[in-house]
Amino acid sequence: MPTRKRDHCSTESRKEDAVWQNALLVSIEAVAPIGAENSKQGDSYNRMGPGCSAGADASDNQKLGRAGKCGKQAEQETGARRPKCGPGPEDVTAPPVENVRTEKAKGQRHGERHAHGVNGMPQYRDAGFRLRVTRSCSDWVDKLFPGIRFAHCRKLLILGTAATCLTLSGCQGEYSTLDPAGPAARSIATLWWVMLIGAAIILLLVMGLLAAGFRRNKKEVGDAAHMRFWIVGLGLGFSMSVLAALLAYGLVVGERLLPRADADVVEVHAQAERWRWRFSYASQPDFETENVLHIPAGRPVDVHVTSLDVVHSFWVPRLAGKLDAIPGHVNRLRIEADQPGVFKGLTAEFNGEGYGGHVFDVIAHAPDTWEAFLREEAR
Amino acid sequence: MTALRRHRALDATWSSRPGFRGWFSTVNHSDLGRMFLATSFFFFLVGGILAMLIRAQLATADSAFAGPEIYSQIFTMHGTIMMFLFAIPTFEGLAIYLLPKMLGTRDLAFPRLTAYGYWCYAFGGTMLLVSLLLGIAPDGGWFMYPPLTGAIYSPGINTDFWLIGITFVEISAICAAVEFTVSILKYRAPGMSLDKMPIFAWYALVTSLMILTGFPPLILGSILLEVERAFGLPFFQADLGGDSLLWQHLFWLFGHPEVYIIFLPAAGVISTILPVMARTTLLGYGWIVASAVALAFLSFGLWVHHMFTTGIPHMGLAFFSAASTLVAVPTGVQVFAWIGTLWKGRPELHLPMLHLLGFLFTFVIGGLTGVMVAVVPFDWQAHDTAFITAHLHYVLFGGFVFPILAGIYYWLPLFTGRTRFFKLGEMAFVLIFLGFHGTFLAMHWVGLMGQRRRIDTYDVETGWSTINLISSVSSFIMAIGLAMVLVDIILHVYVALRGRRDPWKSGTLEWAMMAPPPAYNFASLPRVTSRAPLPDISGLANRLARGEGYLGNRPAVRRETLAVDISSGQPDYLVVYPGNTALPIVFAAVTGLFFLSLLIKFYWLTPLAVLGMMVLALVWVWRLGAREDSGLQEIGHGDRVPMAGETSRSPGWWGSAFLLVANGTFFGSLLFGYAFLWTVAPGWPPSQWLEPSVAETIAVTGGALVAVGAMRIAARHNRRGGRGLSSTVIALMGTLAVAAAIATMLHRMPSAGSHAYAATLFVLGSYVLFHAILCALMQANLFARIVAGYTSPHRRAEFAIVALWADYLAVIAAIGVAAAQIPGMLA
Amino acid sequence: MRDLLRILAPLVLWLASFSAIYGLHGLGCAQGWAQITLGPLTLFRSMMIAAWLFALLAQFALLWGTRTWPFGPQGGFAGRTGMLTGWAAVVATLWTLQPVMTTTSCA
Repeated sequence: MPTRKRDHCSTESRKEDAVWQNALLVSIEAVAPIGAENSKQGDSYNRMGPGCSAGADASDNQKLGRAGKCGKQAEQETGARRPKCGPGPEDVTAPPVENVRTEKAKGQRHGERHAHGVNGMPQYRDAGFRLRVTRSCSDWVDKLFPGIRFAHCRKLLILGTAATCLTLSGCQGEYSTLDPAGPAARSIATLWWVMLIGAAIILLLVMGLLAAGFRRNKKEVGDAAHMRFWIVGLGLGFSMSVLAALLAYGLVVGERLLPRADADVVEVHAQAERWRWRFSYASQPDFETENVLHIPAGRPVDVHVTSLDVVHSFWVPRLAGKLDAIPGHVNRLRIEADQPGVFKGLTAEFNGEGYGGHVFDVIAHAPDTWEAFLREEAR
Repeated sequence: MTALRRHRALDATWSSRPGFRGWFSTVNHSDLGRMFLATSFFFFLVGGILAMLIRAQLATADSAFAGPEIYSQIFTMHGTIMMFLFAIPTFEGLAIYLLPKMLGTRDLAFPRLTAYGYWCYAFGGTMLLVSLLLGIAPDGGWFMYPPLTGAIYSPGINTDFWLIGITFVEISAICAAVEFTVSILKYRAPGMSLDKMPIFAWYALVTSLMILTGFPPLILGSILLEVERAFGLPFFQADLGGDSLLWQHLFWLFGHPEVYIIFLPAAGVISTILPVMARTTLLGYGWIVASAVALAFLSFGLWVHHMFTTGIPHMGLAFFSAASTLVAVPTGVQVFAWIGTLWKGRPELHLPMLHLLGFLFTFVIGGLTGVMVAVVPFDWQAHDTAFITAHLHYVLFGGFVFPILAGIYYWLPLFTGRTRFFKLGEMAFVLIFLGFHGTFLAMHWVGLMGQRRRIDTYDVETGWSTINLISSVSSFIMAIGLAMVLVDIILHVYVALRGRRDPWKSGTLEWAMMAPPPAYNFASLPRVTSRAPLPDISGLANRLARGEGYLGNRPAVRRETLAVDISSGQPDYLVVYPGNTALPIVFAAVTGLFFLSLLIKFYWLTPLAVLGMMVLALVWVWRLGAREDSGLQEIGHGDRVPMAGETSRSPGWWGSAFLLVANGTFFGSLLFGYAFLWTVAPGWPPSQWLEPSVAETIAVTGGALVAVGAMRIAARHNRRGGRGLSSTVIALMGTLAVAAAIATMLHRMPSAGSHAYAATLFVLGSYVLFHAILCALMQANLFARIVAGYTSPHRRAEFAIVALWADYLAVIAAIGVAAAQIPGMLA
Repeated sequence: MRDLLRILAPLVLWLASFSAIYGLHGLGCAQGWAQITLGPLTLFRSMMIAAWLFALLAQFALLWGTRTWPFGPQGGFAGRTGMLTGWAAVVATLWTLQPVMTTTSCA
């Protein structure tokens, strides 16, 4: 895993180290103290890889800001140029309700970024699609093969990955889990790529062994030797070592995505009903929205999910995994958007006829306008 | 006696009635196996057509092919039919047909039960088909999550068809599982010890034990949900102390083992065929047995991985994530053992081998994606998307359909006695293989791109159109391939040339008989000394046909076979099977009437149907047994064994024991549900507990203990030459005391509709009451049998069976009464 | 039947302990044991670890027990296969229940 790049935007990365570098019982036991301790460590290495928002070209003397201030602000401060991987979430700097506003993103090099507020609902616009596909793929290669510096190998890898991406219409998309726009979705996307490569290698290995079984000039060996090699060696030894590594990786990622106590956390409530979502905000009790969830960018948000009727599931693929809304239970999901923008949300548990159209939007506001927005809306 | 005359005599005794009328009264395993397979492939066709409709719907964006109401029915029925009406019955059919032949015996343990199971399956399946034709099919998805499937959000009859129809069909799975377990353990050729069993039998044994313990939670869940829908008992309603998560636990407690119940028989087919195709023996027989057993057990510790997104704490998820990765180890052991077998031998590329290669490629991918979704955070993204749909098809189509196609082509010469003539199969394989991967490979990707499963349509802007179109086109290619297989098989059955016996030069006993096999399988039973008897004993088939094996000396007037000792395989006793009878189909029809009355809410009919079933059950058991002692029987080779009814561990005892395993799992699931609601559900504790009653507690435990003790005394009296009548009556009294006390408790408990606590208590009480009544009936029947002269110091089998049920009643009554009374005492 | 039990017993025991510890986990979280500290650990974690160790102990006891009464001497097919499933159950107990040490309690 690459460790050379810094990602100071991800809050999740602040927690991981203390928990997992000393993964001792006692430290896990003390969940709350860790959270508190961690919030002081403003920056830390993100072992999960730089992701799309991390400055691959970012200058090393980049000023490390607090999580809440990263993103655009950090860019402005350092003037770093960031290669985009995601289809650039729009910067929603002000409540997009009832007004049409276009804002040119500063310090970013491609595409026009719009935040259209048509009928009060900001629309997503895609621009420079192909360019970004290739670029994002090269970004992934960077991420997955950090050590590769030789131009040819790199080119080959980039081409290979790009070909895969392009033939499958890319990793991009408003609903794509492989186009992450937040720390949780990003670490899961990385997990996927690692598993995909591992799986491909294992598949090739097994199929190679299978094909070799059809050779005609095989050496005669006894059953005992066969058993040692196939069953003990490959069946037990090989499977168990691969699986142990994967299980550990999965549990580490899972631990890091848990909604731990953090002073910075914003609390919102999501209530599902056939076929709409109602969102309310802990800091502004009178404010309620339907099918649109407002969150601040760059800050962890805990969504308290429940349901009024049947089982639903809250899912914003570009931000985090899903969590079910179950009648009688309140579940807590941690989401976070790196940048201001609009993200598509889906209901991901079949709930009857209106299931296909049961969707919502998540609007992430720039951190400095968030409080103002809430105050404005609550009035 | 010449082989031909022997054949004629045996055939006259064993065959079903000629013509199609024979189907309704046959109890022969070869007939019923074929009927099972034909019916299950008919349902495969139906499910396949539904799959094509799904792909037609999703082929393009903004599809207007079917509306959401119809589309929900289509995908629900596709899943339901493929799981319950195709996959499981195909295993049942194949095992019913093959097991006695492979084990070197003449039929399964309980022939009438085989037939009853088939008719339950046929009638239950018909119920679901009717709902489909009328457009009122289940529409809540194949895992039927409440509250969506509760009475409020699904008021129609659709869901009832699922709950009642599937429960009806599952009776056949439970029947088959009991039967396979007893058959594999007891009905084998003499000398076939556990380590000489064909590997398929091991897999079938493990699968059967899994059905016995895997299906009861679903049956319980279905009953609870149907009771909630019909009578308003709130098991899954959060506002009355229920919890919809309880359903998810019960469903997946069944649902995950189900996947391995489907895969393991297929793995058994592979382990049987692959060594034959590679001209060698299976590598690591003992390891494979151990890994099949390990796989079976581990698969019961995976159910929560279907619930990673329901908000269970991370430690809970981690247990199941760990178990889900670990389950890949025994699977890996088997896959590598198979590849090692190929390395060991000289593989030949016959048609079954092509399907096995298709299996290996597909299943390895499915296993790898399975390990991916076992990783909790990844599942949070992949759950309920097309990625899961793709994964499960890789595992189920790869892990079941390819091996079954291999098996069909492998055993077709045995089924028909013909040799392959038409070469459609190879072409069909290519189409199926390419079509399958075209359909599902890219579906992983579209799932990661955010396409949820079960959506009826999607926008162009999502960018999913191309992949979906590729999927749909490929799926039709696959369908054409499968249709070609069908044509190939039909042509083969009717017009191919006669072939020779054992075309593959295989070693297992099913090839040591005529093809197609006669109704009695073996004219005489072999003495087995190795795992591959056929090449080891020269001219085995002819020697058996000449009557040189066991039972060759017996007159062919009754349907007889041998039961053996479980471990060593030494002859244990002689079994006489019942002959052709219409009793199973009649019993199944009355059972169907019972379910139908619940479905269409003709509740006046329900008690009549129950009464009918009771009468038929009495007829069923009354026909067995003898009024005179037979003594030891000559079975050839100088061996003498008693008759089954003159032992204390008769087939009926073993059948009861394994049925009680399933029954105990059901009861355990109920207790789990009780504890789960208590600890997890919102709205507990209830406002009112059951007032504790010492009298009831004493009556229940005391009555049950009396019944247990009295049954033991009755059996001892009988052994010593007495009749045991008075003790049987005392046992009956004890059982009735249990019934009366439980009935009182049910009468005075809080209203069952008021809270999930009362509702669960009601079910718990009803369960104990049902068993008390059942036990009382058995004791009354035993009394009548003693009076009618069916018992003697030798003919003692029935005492042991009734005693077993009385013991079970005592256990559940004690636990049930404790669970009901203690909370009130503590409160 | 004894031979069969010898093969099945270790994994039956694993399944029982696995389910019981999962049940204990649900009960402990519902009862708020994770909030009660007990020395360096919480009550919840000490209960879980104790249960885990007990399950392990039971597995080893069974592994040792199947060598002797009531299962008869070692060797033979059932003995060898029982040994395999016995060790499989030990590994399964270690592998599937290690989260009691490594993961967060009730979040």
